[in-house]
Amino acid sequence: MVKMFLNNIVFAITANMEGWELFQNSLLPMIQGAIKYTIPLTLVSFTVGICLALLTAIMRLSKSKILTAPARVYVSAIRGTPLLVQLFIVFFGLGSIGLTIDPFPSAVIAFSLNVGAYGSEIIRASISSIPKGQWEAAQTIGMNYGQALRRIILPQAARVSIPPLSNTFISLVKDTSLASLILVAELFRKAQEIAARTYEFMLLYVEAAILYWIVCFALSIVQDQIENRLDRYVAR
Amino acid sequence: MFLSVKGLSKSFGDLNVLKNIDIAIDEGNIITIIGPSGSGKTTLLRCLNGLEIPDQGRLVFHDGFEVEFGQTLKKKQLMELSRKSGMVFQSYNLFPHKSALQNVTEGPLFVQKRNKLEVLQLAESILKKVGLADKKDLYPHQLSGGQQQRVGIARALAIEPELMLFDEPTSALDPELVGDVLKVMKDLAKEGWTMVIVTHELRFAEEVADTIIFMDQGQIVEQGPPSQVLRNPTQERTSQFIQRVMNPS
Ligand SMILES: Nc1ncnc2c1ncn2[C@@H]1O[C@H](COP(=O)(O)OP(=O)(O)O)[C@@H](O)[C@H]1O
Ligand SMILES: [Mg+2]
Repeated sequence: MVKMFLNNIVFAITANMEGWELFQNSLLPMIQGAIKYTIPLTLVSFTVGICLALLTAIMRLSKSKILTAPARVYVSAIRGTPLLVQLFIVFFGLGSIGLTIDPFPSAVIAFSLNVGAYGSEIIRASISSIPKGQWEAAQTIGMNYGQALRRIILPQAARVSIPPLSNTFISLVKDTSLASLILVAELFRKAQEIAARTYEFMLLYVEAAILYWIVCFALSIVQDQIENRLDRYVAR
Repeated sequence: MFLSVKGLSKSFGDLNVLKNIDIAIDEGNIITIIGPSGSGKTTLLRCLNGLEIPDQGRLVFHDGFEVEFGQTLKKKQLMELSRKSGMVFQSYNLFPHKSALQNVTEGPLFVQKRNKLEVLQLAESILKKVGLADKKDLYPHQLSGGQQQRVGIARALAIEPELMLFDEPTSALDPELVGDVLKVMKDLAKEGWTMVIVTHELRFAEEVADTIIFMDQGQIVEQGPPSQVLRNPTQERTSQFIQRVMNPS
């Protein structure tokens, strides 16, 4: 199905041989951009972001104001400002006041902060959704807060948070295209460069779109499989 | 005396849920607590293992361990208090992501850090005792309510507590499954366990209890051996309650 659909699009925009050749020739640099930048950027940012999210979620669930207040401000600030603006602050903003960070690490910082904020809300909600009786049962077999969280609550919360976190991950893959604007040579930046040279905007941007689509489609299959695995202990 | 409960009081906001509760529990005693819904039975039980912190009162254990409420408690003290007793919940509260066996081994293995082989042997023998040796690899959702509750009992036994607490362990069960759970509790009684049991099963209470406590509105209205509390209650409120439970209509 999908393959047929893709073929149709390819035919539509490569009706002439020249177009088809350009499509093929630009495929390699774009895939290189994806492998060298888009995918590492996504993986590193997501990993760092999830750690940040977990920390923020635990801070927000604590009873101490000293912990909840900074977590609240952080989440609110990130959610209340555009990702592109955050990216520009980290790269151009900090750069202009003498704190120059390279494009790739700048992007990692901005995207990690972003995943950290959105992810923390997901993780917090999923921890809160676990019945109080689970905490209490853990306490009665002698667990302290940390042990209960790690061994009893988080494994159950993980099951609840995997679908929304997968969505965050897939969004992140697409959002990394914004890094093209701070000169990271990722997939979309490559498309822009070739398009600027050849004026074949339609062809190259659709080609870029198809590549993103393929990656996200593959990820959604992985997501389904993880969910099925985790369904093991849930009544059906 | 195994445990003496002195002057326990607890409020939730304006609501006085426990008012100056005194109980004496001897080693090997079975205490059952009866009383209308909302009278504070669950809260009392939870105060005994620190799931709820009373506003006032004192718990003194046979070994000299003592907790005085109404002042700041050390974490260590609370840990030791919860270590003293095993708790069985009305709604089981099994860990759904762990098998029956893993539910039972979790405490001794990961909290008490005991030897793995030893814990496995212990867990299998406890599961056998509650009649679930063949169900050890099943997950909670694959078990009936009665089986889940027996895993709950096994999980509590596995930390090798000195005292077992039961909060209406059969209230959530279909009638035909109640018997299996009560049978396990009777076996524990025969083994000499010290137990505090909140229940509406008056016949069961009569059979196993050394002392029955009737609670109403946060107070102990009457306590004594079953023959007295159930057969010849001295208080009007007690006899009314027993009438209602015996002949529901
Ligand atoms: N955590 C709580 N917060 C506020 N009120 C509570 C809480 N737990 C229990 N209560 C109230 O305390 C009273 C006694 O409850 P409980 O001990 O559960 O009684 P019982 O087990 O005898 O039915 C009830 O009125 C109940 O609503
Ligand atoms: Mg109750």
